[in-house]
Amino acid sequence: MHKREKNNTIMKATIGNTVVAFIYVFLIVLVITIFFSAPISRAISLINMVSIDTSKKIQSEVKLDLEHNKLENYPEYGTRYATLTIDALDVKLPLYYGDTLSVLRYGAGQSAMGYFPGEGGSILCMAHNTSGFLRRLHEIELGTKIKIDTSYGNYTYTVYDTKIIPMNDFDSVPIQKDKEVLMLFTCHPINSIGHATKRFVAYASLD
Amino acid sequence: MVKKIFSYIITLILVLLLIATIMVTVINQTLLKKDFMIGILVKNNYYKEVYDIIKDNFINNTVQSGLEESVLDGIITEEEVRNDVNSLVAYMYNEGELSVDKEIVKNRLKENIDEVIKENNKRVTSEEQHSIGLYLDTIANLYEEGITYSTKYVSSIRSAIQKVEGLLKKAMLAGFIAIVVVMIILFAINRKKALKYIAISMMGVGLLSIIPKIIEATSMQIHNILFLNLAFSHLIIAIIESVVTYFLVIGILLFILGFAVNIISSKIQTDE
Repeated sequence: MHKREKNNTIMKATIGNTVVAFIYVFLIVLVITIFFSAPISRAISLINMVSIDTSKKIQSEVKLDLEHNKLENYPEYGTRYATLTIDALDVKLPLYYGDTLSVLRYGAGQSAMGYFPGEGGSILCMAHNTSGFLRRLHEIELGTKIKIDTSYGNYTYTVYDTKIIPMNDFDSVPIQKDKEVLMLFTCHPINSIGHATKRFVAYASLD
Repeated sequence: MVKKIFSYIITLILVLLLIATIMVTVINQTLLKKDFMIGILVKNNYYKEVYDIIKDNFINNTVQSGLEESVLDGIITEEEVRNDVNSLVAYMYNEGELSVDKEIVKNRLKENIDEVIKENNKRVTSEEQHSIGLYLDTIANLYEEGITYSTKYVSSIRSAIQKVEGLLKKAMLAGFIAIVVVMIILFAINRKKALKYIAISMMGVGLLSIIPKIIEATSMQIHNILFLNLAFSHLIIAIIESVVTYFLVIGILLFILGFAVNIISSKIQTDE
């Protein structure tokens, strides 16, 4: 056989075998797709479910829909969206949406369990009782004004009650949807060391 | 003709056997190997990340405690975190007992708090004593959680590894024997063309082994996995990537090798 002809035959046979290998792969993938597509899709979506692209920041403006008393574009959890001021106690704190300990290191936090200022329901806010935060909250008097200035509006609340409650007494800080009450609390007693087991709560209604 | 069809069917069986054996071998050499896991931890700076997360959680809990951050000085070291994480990994792979010593952390913190109380001549009420006890427990538990995430899950993983390990070893052995038997059958059917069928199988398996990488690159957002905390997320990402890379490397090597055998078998057949 001529050398060139021989090389052509080898090449043809090699390509032919490679094509057969591809056909095998195609057939196996087809069978897998037909019989196992559901569990494979489930596994992929499970991974994608816990995949969060944190590089993209949501910058939509937070707005209040006055007609329905509901926020449009809620702030991102863990971000600052307002300022909480109590002039009488010389308190001015950044207010974050979220109440994890890592958030509370930098300012006051607002529980995701409650409503936002302006929505007409209970607002649950908290901060540490250390200096620079709510160290003097226990000195607050009835009638004191608490202001929350947000990007969509300014809200003023007047303190009408204060209480010292056990740490897990959630009944004392009820979330209601038809009355805008700000419940601001901190750990109690101040100057104590260790894990505080009580909370000082100031209740204030919207002016 | 019948011989040819039978050879192609046997080749298909060989492809399936090879891919199954490769899968079992990769799992055995990665997820079920303690050294692989330790290597991933070291490569990804996992110990430092866990140490930083634990320290951060300690600080978060200390801000509200009426104590300065300095009470946390020296209560844990990166080396201790490394040792405890390694002991946890060893425990999961059935080597030794789980020994995350949170009592040491608690005792050191207590000593620091006692010193602060002594320095400030503070009178500690019984209520405060109770609060300090709760704070100590919280910090000690945070340390344990930081290392193990959940002792319940650690035990489940340990027993799962134990079960799977035994099964996969048997599967690997059975796979190797079956591959040899199938190859012998191929040679018995057609000694001249057996090499060709083996080459086709190798190329097919090589291509199939590349598929996980294609799925990872096209359908999965692996790099954004966020689960439990950053250290754990980075660990999961690294494990998935390593396993997929293993498959990719094996796939490429097998395809190249299969292609070489393919050329050789074509040459032999042409010569004959």
